[in-house]
Amino acid sequence: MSNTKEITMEKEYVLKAPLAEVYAFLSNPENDDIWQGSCDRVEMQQPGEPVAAGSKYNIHFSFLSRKMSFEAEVSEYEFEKSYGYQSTEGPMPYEGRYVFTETEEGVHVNWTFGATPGKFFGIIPKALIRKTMDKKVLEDIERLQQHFASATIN
Amino acid sequence: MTLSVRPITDVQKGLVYLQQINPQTAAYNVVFAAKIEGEFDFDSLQAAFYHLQQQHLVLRELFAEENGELIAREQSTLKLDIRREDIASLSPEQAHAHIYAASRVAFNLYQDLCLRVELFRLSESETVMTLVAHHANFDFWSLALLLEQLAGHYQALSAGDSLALDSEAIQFDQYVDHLQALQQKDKYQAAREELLAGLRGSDGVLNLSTDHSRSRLNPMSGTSYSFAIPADLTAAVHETAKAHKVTPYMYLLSAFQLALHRYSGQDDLLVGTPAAGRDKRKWNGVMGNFVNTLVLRSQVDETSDFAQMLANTYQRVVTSVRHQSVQFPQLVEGLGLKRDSSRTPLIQASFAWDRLPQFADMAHFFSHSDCSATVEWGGLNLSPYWIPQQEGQFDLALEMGAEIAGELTATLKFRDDLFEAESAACFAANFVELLGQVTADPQQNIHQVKLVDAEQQQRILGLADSDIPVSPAVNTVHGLFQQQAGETPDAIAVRDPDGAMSYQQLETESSRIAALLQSEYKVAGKRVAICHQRNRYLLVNLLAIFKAGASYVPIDPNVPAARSQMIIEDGDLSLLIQDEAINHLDFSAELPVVGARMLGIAAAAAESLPAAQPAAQVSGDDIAYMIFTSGSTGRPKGVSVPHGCVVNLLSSFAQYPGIRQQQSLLAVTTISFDISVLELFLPITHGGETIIIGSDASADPQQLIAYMEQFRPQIMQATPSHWRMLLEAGWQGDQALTVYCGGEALPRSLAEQLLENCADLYNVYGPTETTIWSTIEHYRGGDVSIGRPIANTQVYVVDSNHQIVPQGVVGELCIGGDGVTQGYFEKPQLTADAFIEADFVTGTIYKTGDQARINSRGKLECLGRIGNQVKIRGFRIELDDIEENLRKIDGISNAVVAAKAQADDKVLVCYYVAEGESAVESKAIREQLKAALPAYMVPNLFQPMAQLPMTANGKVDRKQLPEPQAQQSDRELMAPRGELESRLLSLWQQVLKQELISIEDDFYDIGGHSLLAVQLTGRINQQLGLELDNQFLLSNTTIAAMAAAIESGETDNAHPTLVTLNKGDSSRTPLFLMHPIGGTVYCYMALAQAMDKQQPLYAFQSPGIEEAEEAEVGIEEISRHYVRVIQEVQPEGPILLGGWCFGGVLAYEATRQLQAAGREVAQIYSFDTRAPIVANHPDDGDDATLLSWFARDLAVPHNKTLHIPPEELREIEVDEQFEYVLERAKAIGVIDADADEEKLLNYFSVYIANGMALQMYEEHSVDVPLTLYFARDETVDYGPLLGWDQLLQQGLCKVDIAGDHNSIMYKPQVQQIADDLSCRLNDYHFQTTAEVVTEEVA
Repeated sequence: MSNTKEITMEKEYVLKAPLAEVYAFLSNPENDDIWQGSCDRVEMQQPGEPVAAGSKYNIHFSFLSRKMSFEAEVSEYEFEKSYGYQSTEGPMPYEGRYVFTETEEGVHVNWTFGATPGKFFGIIPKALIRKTMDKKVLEDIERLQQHFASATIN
Repeated sequence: MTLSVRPITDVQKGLVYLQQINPQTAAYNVVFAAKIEGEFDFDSLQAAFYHLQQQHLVLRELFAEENGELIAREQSTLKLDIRREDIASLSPEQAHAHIYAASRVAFNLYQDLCLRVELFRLSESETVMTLVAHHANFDFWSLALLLEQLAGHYQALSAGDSLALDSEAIQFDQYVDHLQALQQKDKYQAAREELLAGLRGSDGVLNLSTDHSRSRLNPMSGTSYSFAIPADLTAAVHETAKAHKVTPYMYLLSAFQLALHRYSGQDDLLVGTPAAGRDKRKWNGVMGNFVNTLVLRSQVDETSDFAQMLANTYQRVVTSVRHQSVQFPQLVEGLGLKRDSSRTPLIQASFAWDRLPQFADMAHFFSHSDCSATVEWGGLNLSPYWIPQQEGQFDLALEMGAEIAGELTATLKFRDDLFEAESAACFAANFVELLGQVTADPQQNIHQVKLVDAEQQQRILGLADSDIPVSPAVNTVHGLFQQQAGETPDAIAVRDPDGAMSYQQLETESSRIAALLQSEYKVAGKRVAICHQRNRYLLVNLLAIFKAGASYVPIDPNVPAARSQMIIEDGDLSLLIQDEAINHLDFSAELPVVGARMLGIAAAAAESLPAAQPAAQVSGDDIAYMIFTSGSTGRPKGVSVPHGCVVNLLSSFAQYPGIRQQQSLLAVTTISFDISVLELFLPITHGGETIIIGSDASADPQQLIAYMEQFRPQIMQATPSHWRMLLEAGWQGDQALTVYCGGEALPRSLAEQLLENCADLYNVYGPTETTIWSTIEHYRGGDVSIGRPIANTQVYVVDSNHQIVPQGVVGELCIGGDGVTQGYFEKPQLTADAFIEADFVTGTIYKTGDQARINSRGKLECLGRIGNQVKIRGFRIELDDIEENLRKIDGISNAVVAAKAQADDKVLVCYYVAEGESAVESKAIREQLKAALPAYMVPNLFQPMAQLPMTANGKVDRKQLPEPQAQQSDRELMAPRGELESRLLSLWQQVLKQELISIEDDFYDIGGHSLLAVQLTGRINQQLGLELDNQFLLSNTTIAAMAAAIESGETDNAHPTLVTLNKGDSSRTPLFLMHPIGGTVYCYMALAQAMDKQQPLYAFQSPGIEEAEEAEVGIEEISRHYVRVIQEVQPEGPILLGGWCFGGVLAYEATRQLQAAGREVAQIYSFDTRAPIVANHPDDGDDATLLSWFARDLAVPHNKTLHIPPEELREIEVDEQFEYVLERAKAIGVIDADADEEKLLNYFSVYIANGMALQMYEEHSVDVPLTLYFARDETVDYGPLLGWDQLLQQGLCKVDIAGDHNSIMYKPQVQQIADDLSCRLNDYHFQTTAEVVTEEVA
């Protein structure tokens, strides 16, 4: 993670599901719109091909009343250990990384993220952007946990 | 390479600033265009330009900002931009458009030199050369110099000669030094003062009628219209000017001022005129911008003549030219007028006289004319190529000076966002007409001078006439009915909820009663009052009155008896027909009264009386009814309306929009309002059916909706308020219904809403004096107009001299034709004043007192009442009404009331003259007015006067009313009682800019508001070494309270976000109010002041106000903090919550969290909060939108408007947006120039955080009782319950509050909430106390 990003975040949480399942789900960008509230849709540039480092995709978000479209790529893909992604084109640079550790409670996920919105969000202070992202991410994590809980029940 | 930096003049600063804030404008592009005939030597031409650039400093300079100052900086490495473009493939029109567009490309003065050259090759033998310069560093004189020197240089270079630079030549920076030195001299300051003295008292606003509404920001974009003064008139102008010892410039300027006076209706106006500014010969060879704008004031006295006007202009021009070095921006600054970003400051019209000797043989290059004569220039042949220039500087600018073939040519430049080209052409034609008239007879009175030429007048008169062809064959209302009854005797004519009557029955019964009225009561030719319930028998009796040869005078049983009594007294009545069911009225007059039913029974019983038509002979000139309308004297006046007028109205409406046989109309209007006549008689005179319902049902929307569904009428007429009431009550519309809407202005939003809910919508307009309706518009969307005249009706828009004004110009609406009535009953003077003759029409026309204009589509727009109406905090106030009541007070001989700006607010000030030696206490006046007028109409200040200022015409000169002085007598001044109070008093005086302050005065009562509170707190902290937070001034609102709190050390707050607005009785349950979107709670100060002081009242202020980092972005997170505090402050018992706007949502979420924690919320009081449902979320809530709202809300507490559309903000660099908003707020006085911007940024951070939070908040259903205080005058429609019915299953109570979303929280409207809320909280307190007592007893 570059430390030059204007906004950085780090979250740790546990997902109660097998590692293989968690990794498969989170390392596939096509699942992003299922659990990320701000994500509108994702299109893999090579649909059908397995996700691997270098896989490219287009991802579209709605956040703070703005629509954003990015081209992004999978920057790191270490099976059932880590997964990274970064934007290659779009209104602002961002990058993120997951590290997965199997524990007794479930899969421990460490997620780090950084973005440099610059002036994209206009006059909104960076502190508020960060807080909003934080709020959204917490909601997303809750959604993610519910996803795996319901998957387990089913 | 940078060489030198120099200061610039104030005029230059102004122009650079204008260009910076309007980066796309070409308004200050000075353009010269000419066609070079034949071959030319480009290299030599280019070299000549470069040589000129070396010679003249201003051609090497850029503008820049240095240490916060605008300066000019020499950039010697930048070469002039000389471009060549081949456009030979374009048609001549395309080529012209291309070159014109290129000339309008805006300059970036920080990056571009002030001159660029473009050479457009049209063909082998033709090239258009354009020189485009920015006026900031270049003037018209410089252009002449440039052309002159360029020609010489080109000729020399093309001949192989070399050129030498003149290193000694004077440059523009020397002029700037000279000017700066001059400005330090006393003489300059004295000149400035003299000019300012001559301009004081002018508001610097020219109110021209525009085709399009003025946008908030002047786009500085314009177009030109060229015209010429005919040769004979040009010659006469010269001759007459000479005879009156003025120059043609002064002469034409005076004519222009007179035209502007006529167009604007203003007696006092300012026109700008450029002065060359080269006051010394040594400047004549220098390039630069020496031009200064002179401001010429014209005070038109309509009793004088044009010759006198010329003499005045002469004096003013001479004075201004003598002081031409006084820079225009210094005058703007010195006058201290409020800035209005929609206009150029101080002057919105300009007159320029461009006649330079250097251009003697090139005049036709600067005018749009047919003259294409070539001139020799540097060995080349140049011919004119007309490119308009410098467009958009002013609303209107007239440029003259050139004379071609004996004709003065003129270019009228106009802002194209305000005017259509046709209107500019019209102005030009009218200017020529006016010039011709004043030149033909300079001694004629100015008011006799006509503005509109004959051709235009014919066209306007053509628009004035109706295009509905109607020629009624019958001339009485009952005659029309009888004709119809003969055709459809068995059809239903009238119906009410209890029964119906056929045409034959109606005819027979009305004739019987008519016969009785005639034989027994001898009413023929007399007036019969009728006070009747609304049912089918009402129509029987009205027809009977007509048939008996009498006229009816309606008495509405529901209006106050005192008013009805006045009608009885003034109506010269012969009989009163009173419905026996109306038994609460007993008129004290010796007037015969007959019961309506009794009359019917007697008529039916009198078998000897014929049922056929009675013998009374009634003509179209006989009066059908007399309706009393309100008068400015406080006593109603009767308007007598003849049958012929009514027949015309009915026939016109039968034709258009039309009524078909058996179509029904639901009549809902009281008979004391004349529009009821159409409802009652239109159907039964044309085969339709009138359905009459009772007055209770008409006034009750639910009952009315039920009747509409029961009867399914095809037509219904009502006022906009009535229609709005129906929509708000849930009327779903009827796609088969034709809607007539009139009686007051129809807002566009309502029109659009109605249009969706009916088959057809007609907006109708008309005063009682011209018989119900005079114009009609079939509304199909867009702007609302009042349309075109009905049949045999003419409408005219006239000026104060009763002359037709040009199309598009605002004047008074007058109505002529067959609807014009006979005037006011027994009020000959009033009648003579309002019903006048005019020289453009035969017959009488009625002056409506309404302002109107005929728009470019030929339709009438009504623009409100002329005269004395003001709007304060959303209330429209007729000052006449207040003044009339003042004059009734013993001891007052005369009084006027004016709205004055004070402490960022608008207040009503009463100026009164006491009778004789008597002294009237303002307190006593206030008390008496309070008894007669609504609270919002009682003036705030009272100013005794020895006499009122008067105009020459003997009218009160309202412009000369003095600024109000502080009122010692109105409140007791308590002096400070110690050192601390004295120091606090001093700080209050500084911040509030007031001297007379009592230590018991409430900060928020005497002009204090949120931003001033911040300022005051800051000063107290600084001066007294304290660390008070903003809450301190919310909890301690007087000097005495502040001092007490500081002395007792009660300045710390256990809960920094909780403000105690009212400590109240601690045994009562407190009410916790949540802050609105802005995060502060100043909006609750007026409520706290107005509420029962027993009620403990707290308010939550966002922690982000003090520390921006503390602002949260989720409703849940924000509420969580407040819930924690509530739990601490009130650990047990049911909780009361409330909030305005966003605050209501916080209260709702807090309820959810409190309930989850096992607490009971007894009630939420929501002040016009829109329910937090997805449908209520704004479509676009980005930062620009939120900043736009923030700007709007900054202005609200000051009763001002600051509308900066989000689109406008998005055009501005992100880093500058907030600063821009602050500048705009400062410009209108919403924030002070020295406001704490860091604090304001905190405010905005909180605002934007809350805005984002609202958008992210998800819908939750909570079971809680909620009282919704609904702002009934809010124009933005979120439904009748603001969506709360979708969230709350039960316990929703709505209280209507007069005012809009903002005004309901401020005085005076907030009193309504305070009264109701206090009452509810008192009830709650007594109820809970009783429960406790009961439990204890049990």
